[in-house]
Amino acid sequence: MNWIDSAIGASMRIGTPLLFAGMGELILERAGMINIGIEGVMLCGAFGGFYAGWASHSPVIGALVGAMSGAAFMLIYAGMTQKIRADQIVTGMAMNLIAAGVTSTAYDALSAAHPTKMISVPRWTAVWSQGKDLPIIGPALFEQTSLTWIALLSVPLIGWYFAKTERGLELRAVGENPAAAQAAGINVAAARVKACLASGALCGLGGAFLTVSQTSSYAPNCTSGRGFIALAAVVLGGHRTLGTTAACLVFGATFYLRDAIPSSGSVVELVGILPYALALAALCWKFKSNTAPAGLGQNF
Amino acid sequence: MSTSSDIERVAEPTARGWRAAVWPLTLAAGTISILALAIVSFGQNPGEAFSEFISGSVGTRAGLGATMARATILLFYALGIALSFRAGLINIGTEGQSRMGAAAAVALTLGARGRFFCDHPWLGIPAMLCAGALAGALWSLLAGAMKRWRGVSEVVATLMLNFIAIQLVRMFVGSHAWLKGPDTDLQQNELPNALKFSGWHGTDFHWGIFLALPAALAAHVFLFRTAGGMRVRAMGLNRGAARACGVPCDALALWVFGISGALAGFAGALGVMAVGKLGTDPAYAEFGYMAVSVALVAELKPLAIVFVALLFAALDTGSGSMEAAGGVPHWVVYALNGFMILAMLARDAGARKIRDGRTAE
Repeated sequence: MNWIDSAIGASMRIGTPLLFAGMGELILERAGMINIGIEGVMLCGAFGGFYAGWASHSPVIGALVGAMSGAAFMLIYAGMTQKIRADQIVTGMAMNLIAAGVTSTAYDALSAAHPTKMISVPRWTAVWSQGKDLPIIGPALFEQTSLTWIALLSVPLIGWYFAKTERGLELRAVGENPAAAQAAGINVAAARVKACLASGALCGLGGAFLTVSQTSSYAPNCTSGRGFIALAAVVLGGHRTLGTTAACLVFGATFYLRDAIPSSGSVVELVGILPYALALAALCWKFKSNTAPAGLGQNF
Repeated sequence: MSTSSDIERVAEPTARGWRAAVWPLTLAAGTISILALAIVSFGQNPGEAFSEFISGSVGTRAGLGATMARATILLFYALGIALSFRAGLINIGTEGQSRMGAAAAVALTLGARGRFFCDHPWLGIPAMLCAGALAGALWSLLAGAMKRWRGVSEVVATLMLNFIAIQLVRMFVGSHAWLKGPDTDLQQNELPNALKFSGWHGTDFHWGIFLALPAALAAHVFLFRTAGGMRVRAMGLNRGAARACGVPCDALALWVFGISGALAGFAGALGVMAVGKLGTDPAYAEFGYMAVSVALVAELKPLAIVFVALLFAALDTGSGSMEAAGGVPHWVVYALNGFMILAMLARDAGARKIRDGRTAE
């Protein structure tokens, strides 16, 4: 029982940043934009959140600032794709480079300025630590910080927004056929910029989760490819909220598996490939039915 | 996806005369100001930092050799990227393809084969380069096949394959059974001396650059002077129209994947022979991503890539020596690369505005 509990708890913890990033990318893709720069947005959130959490001695403020830095960084993407109408994939690539460069340089500067002190964020306490002995939901929910709850709550919220609200419908129209949406009186650029901001905040939170909740410290490039995994999760999830959530949590479990299996032998290290190979295999298996919005990648 | 046509637009000549100099100058000014900002914020003396930068990149023999060696790798990578981007295929798997190439080249030197190749280096070196190219091509074709038959976006496929390749090569390097061979007590992953490229007067410089320059010329001739290159570019500009004109797009796409992967794998093998050993991370780690910036800043023109690769290599070595002198970390180069890409994209937008205005007249 014990290892099952720890497996569930750890998978959930690893899945949370993926879930944030997956939801962020999902919003963007439904609005007709593809961003391979979420890795960079997450890094911005991770560093911004870490810095603010360290400076204010509060992980909560760290998470808020992380979300804000993600959203602010996404303004570059919004401006490049909506105003300048630059290629979305190349813009995303540039954002990854910029984020990696700026955050790592800034972290080096920070640790150079405080050579003796240990720079870390205070621990974020679990939601209800006494409840962690409950079967399954204990490690899955109560042992986690409230950020995991926010991530999980964002799923039905986003689903409801797209399915039931007029604005959500408009956003989907923008993603499917921007020209038709514009003709119907929707301000395509404004809708897309708003989607960028929401996506940036979510991805930023996902990055901040890594530094203020999961580890309370920072390392250069600590997102280590999670943004790309989230990108695959959205495709695997069929561009739907529940599907994406399931894909993110499965990826979380695979990452847990990778870390949990002792990597003493050489063949065992093959497990490190597991999440990525799984993603590719699933994409090959699934992709024939294309679920992407018709206007994905098209600037308007 | 409209990506292809947008990227191809980057590649079109947009200005003549003095206007052609505006963008390179803007880029240079932007680069210098970002570097200066970073230097000042790190409290380093700008003059000192600048002299470190120069001596590390071009000012000394060692610096110049290192810059040339890096430029060689970047040049091959960027040629492959330019070819795929011209064809409208966003193959960003150079990093993984080159690592697979490096591992394949090293694999050839193991055991009895290794001893044979050491005795006949003139057979061994080409064999290693070919093995690298082959491995890179196969790794890239994997993504190509996924796109062709399963409709998987090559962006996601190549990204995932990068991660897989990095893990695979690390595993390969770490495994005693594979890399170190059953009959060696060699605990390092050093290549036999006969198969290493000897440097030039103790610098990193090696004759790889004399392969890279003809390769750039060949790429230029292919892209702009042959029917095949014309087809590749047509496919990138408008796949539907190209197909309607009889371009076999699906087959051509696989060729492009294969060749760009082969270039990456070839350079990976070249890199491992230049450095002399394969570590968990190759000496030129992350160059696969930097090469994307090189290709884009060079407007996907093979001849321009020669100069941009040299420039980026100098940035890399120069910033490395600045970091070693206790100043700005080399990370700043990543940010610079990103800003350069954004600047190129913005210039593209300006050019489009001019062109749209002209059509409207």
